[in-house]
Amino acid sequence: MVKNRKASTSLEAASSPEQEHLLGEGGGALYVHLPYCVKKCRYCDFNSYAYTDQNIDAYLSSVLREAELRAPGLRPQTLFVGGGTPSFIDADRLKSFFDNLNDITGFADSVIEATMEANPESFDDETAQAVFGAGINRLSLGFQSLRNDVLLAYDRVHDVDRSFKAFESARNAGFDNINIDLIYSFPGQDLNDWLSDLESIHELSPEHLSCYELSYEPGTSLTKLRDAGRHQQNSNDFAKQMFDLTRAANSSAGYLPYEVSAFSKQGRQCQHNLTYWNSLPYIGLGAGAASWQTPYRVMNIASPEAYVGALAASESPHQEKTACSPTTILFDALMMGLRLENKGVSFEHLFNLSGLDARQHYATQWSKFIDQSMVVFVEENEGTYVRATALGYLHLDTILGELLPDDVVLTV
Amino acid sequence: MSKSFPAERIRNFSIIAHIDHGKSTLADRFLEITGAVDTRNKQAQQLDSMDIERERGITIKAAAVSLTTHVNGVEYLLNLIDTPGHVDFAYEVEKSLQACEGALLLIDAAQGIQAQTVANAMLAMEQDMTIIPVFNKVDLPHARPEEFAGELENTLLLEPELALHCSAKTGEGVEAIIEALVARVEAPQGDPHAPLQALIFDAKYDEYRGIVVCVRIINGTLHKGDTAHMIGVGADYEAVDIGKFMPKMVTHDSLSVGEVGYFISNIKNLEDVRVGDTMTISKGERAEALKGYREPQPMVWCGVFPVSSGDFEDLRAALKQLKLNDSSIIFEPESSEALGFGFRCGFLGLLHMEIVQERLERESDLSVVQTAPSVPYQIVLKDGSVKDIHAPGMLPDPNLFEEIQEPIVTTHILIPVESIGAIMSLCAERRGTFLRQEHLSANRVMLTWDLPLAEIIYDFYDKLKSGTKGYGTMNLESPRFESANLVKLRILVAGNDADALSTICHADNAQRRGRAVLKVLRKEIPRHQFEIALQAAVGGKILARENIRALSKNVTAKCYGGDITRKRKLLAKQKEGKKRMKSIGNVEVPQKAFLSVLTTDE
Repeated sequence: MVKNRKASTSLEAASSPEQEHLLGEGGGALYVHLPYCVKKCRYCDFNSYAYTDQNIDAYLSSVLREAELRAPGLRPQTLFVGGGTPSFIDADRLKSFFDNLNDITGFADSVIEATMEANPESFDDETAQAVFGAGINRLSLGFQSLRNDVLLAYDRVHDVDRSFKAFESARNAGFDNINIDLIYSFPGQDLNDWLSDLESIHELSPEHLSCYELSYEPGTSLTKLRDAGRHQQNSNDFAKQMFDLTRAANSSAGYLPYEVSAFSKQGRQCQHNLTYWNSLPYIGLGAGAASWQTPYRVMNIASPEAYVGALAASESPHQEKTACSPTTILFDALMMGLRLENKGVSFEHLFNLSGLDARQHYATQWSKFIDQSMVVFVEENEGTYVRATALGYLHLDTILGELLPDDVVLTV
Repeated sequence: MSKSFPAERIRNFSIIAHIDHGKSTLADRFLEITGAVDTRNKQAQQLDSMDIERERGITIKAAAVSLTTHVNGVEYLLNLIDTPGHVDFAYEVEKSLQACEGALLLIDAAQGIQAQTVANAMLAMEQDMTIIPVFNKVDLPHARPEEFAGELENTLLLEPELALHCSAKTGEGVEAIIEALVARVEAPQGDPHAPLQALIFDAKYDEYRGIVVCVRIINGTLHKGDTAHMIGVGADYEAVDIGKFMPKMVTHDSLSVGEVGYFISNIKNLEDVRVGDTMTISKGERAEALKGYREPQPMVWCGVFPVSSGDFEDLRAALKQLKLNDSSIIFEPESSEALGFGFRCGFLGLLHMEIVQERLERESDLSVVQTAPSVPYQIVLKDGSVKDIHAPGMLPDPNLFEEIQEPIVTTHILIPVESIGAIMSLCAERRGTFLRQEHLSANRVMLTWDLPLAEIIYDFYDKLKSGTKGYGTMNLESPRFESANLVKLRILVAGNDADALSTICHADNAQRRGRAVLKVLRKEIPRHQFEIALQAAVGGKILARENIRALSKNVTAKCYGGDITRKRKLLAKQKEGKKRMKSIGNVEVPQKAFLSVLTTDE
């Protein structure tokens, strides 16, 4: 990173070249963050908050205000509404929020994909119909597990029956593109349990599956429990078995892996997430939302209250705006692009993003990784792709550790 | 200023005692009793006890103290010459003993004589010194002086009836000791008109006055202002100030035969003065050097590295500062692939190393990493020449040398009879050669073994203590070098030599040592994406192997737009940790792995 530049504190004074660049970008991807949940899950490290008595209307208005400032007439190709639990907000409010967002950005006509995340406990027929009617055409349902004891242990508020009902509501409302989120490798879960859970999901036949290995993020209550010796994390070897089983079971059921944790039926890959993994630009609205407008990474103020306060005072909701150096852009693009299974990232694309010849820039590393059968170069679609092999794919973080440029400033 | 004291009324003596047998208490009692005859001093004591405390501090630090006392109405000068308290080898007390004609052999009446005390007493007897055995702490209920007097006869052929009894704590019997010193110890013999011949038996660094040289005049007379010549060092120094420790330093115009005192000449570096050297006069007829001077040889070496590489120069400065006070410390820069830049330090022995370590920590406030101690070796090359080495990396190619010699030490071990079995097998395990067994009494026995020093410095003393319920003591004679079946143990990580981890060890121990090293490495090297073979080898022969299984996977489960910056920082943090790793081939070895191996005693 060249420099950690703070954004100007006033939106009125926001006519800097960077700001114009941000405001002027059309198309692309739009992300909206709705941070409230019934309660915080044990493993969660998202910018989410248990709802008590926060003013939801004030928050939604602030997001719309930010949309007016940063994405007027954007006509995005994809929209993703994440959280938190967007479905936690009642149907009427959600409908009117999406209507207003559409008035500002015109997303309903422009998108090829508009996803909203929902949790089973708060997703019923009413909400399903309301958001489908408001232009949301893809749903991401947080099943997480098909075991009630696991759901209870990790502080989820729904049960398995409720998950299936939510899925039915979605189908009934007209959603023909649904993702189901699942977490695996809970301690105590054995391979057979997990396989039978996956088979139940395959029977339900959603279009997309996200299967995440349970991860221990810094600061979560799960990580604290583990570090205090009160929770036994599965061994690395067992996690690998679960990982392999997940891929095998999903593939044979027609869900092809295209990213580390993402599986889809033919033609049903998540277009919005591909934007991230292809390092294409996106604008994030709402508390803690991230934006990528080459070469700037922008991070909004994380606290919803502070975010609302900043917009009410006509101040910038940006907490941090950083101009990335070419080496950082290149690294980030590899970090994301190598996650794409059987694809990787092309040197041409990397050059377009960073202005650097990645082949030459990382010559030593590539030759070592090729020797170790971790990556391969593949000629495809009139380009040369650097792609992780099956082995390299399992060790992406090891590869990235050696690609990381030295100029990354440790500010945390 | 005081004149020289007539030699026939001087008595020079040392106190030979085991730690905690009451040497300091007895010395304090001497100070009090001899000072008590002087009424003015008595007043001073009452007036300002703080000063006395300070003076006592001096007596502990000073190498010598001069006392005057009256016996049967005649004034005598008693010079108490201190022996170093912590020694690794018996010869370290030799210089102090050489300055005396007699020694008090102070024995705890409840514990009996200890190995090092026996050795020092023998050393004193070899120099024809008068030994006065004294049983201290006779006031203790479990004191058994009569029983231990028998041990004296068996070990040192000292007549039991010559032993005195005292309690340094209460003062009981101390006057009788002073009388015995005057009656039994010979007055110094020498010619005050002969060319100056003085023994340098100690030297201390004083921040304000430079080096304080402690001398005992053998022949001739040293005058203030004389230009003295140090025969061994070959340097001339002017006697800027001379005098005696009374116990404060008191200037005198001259020091003559039998007298003990100090010599100050603005000498800044302790290396310029050698303990054991002979001082004579620069101009005119010079005396001959006294016999028996031996340059102290470092027998234990270890690497000392700053934890933070930026502290290298500070560490050098700290070691230099220590050397001012203790010239027997040797250090030279060492660069370790694993630990960076530091110093290879040589010490007289294990105890000396521990004392220096302690001082380094206390006086310098530096964080240092220390490797496990090792001994020096002598390599006999094919052409017959001998090469000294003190680090495994200095070992030449096996084709170039004939044999490796290691230091062997004759070790006297004094133990209770019931521990004989345990200690005999300990010594046998440590490649010892049994020499003899002598019964001191019905309960105690002295074993004499030849042991490789390399075996002694690996927790031998701890094992001795635990094998004898704490009662065992030992004493080491001067080391000598003997040929041994020693090999260079190679450690291979994924087929590549880890030079920083190679060691010299006995062929019989190579496999055990190799296994231990591999076990540590297996624990400390993180799993990689490939299996790592760890091997211990001598030449091309593999003696032990371990495998570090491949890491199954290392990939972040979820990474979306909002995670990029955080993920990058997380990787940067991990990379920061990896900076402390050293690559051996494709394997990243954490510094901690090297440390665990290099600091382990196994």
